[in-house]
Amino acid sequence: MDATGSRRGITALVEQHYEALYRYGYRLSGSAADAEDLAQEAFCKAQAQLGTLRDPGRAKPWLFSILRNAYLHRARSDRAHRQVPLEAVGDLPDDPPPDVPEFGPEELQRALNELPEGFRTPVILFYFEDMSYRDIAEQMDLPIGTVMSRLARAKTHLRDRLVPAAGVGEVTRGL
Amino acid sequence: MDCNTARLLATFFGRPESELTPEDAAALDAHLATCPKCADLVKFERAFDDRVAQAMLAVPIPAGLKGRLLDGVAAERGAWYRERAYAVLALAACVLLTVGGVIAWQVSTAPVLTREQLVAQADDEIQNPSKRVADVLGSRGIEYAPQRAFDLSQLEVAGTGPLLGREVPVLYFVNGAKNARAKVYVVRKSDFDWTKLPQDGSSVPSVYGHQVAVIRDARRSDVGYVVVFTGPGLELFLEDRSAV
Repeated sequence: MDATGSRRGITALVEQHYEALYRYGYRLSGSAADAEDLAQEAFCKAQAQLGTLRDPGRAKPWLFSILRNAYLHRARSDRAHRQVPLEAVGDLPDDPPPDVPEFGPEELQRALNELPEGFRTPVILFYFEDMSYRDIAEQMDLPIGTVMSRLARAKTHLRDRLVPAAGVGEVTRGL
Repeated sequence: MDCNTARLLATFFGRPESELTPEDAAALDAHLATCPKCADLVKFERAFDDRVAQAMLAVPIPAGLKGRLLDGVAAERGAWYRERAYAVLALAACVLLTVGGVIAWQVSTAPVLTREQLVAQADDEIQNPSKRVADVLGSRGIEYAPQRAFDLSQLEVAGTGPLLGREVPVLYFVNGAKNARAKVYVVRKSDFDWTKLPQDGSSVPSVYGHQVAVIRDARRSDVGYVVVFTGPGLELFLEDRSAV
């Protein structure tokens, strides 16, 4: 850790990315307290590993990756998370309602909380960060096809929860 | 394009920055223009995506969050430096203790030098010059046996010394009466090819008054006693001068 460079570097990172990192942590964990803890842990780890950030332009995905690892580490020791099995194949509804009903951030969070982390993370990054499939695949260290598949399933789950009227016509369950 | 393909592509077409290729996007657009059902479906999908994206970002940022995060990393940095400083101090203490211990051990185990020992050694060197020579040459696997024996009563020093960059046994003789000195390098052919030097024991005059001679070993053909000396002649440093 270089004293001055590290202090300036991490301060700049906090100022630029703390809101995005907090929101990402919130959507991952579903809790404001956990989100703040995760953001703090991510910045502290980033400070210690600042020398490994070769490309400053990639600071944001780098920080997201650190935060996700911190979250996964916590999640392993906290198995009480409620999750539904995601067996439905992602598909579009046959007869969508004319309008998408209103739903708020809390309803969305409840639906997100039901997703296993491996499905929750890509859907958050997809909507929240406008990340491409390739970026998400890189972030999660997964093949791009797996990301597309998980994203489709996760979106189906969100649609089921948030727009119940938009039932999928022929759902394949129990893979 | 049929409806199934269109719906599959539409799954990845929910956002403006579609990841469809331009060709697929154009084909999908063409299909949507002619298929109201699929068009409604894509319209719904886009609206749903927009609504989810909007809700996804609607996370209020707690007041004072940035300050707390900055305080947190500063505290972590302080802890890191403290740990680092403690580690450096601990290492320095270990090094100091180790060095001090080694020095103390060396001091405590160093043999005591006494006058009696010094006198005894000096006496022994004078009384047993042949033993000193045998010890020095013996350490190199050489037995002292020159064809013409040196007068060991003139021996001042027996040890090893440099000869053109190599350590070889050296015998140093002093003849006080004639103010003459002789250095005898005992060399093997594996050390130096001394055979180019005069083999008959005759001397070779030098510019500064030094002379050089070689005396062969009586038992080993590869061992020679190379003598660099001053004074009237080599005979001054040899026994049995009448033999010359």
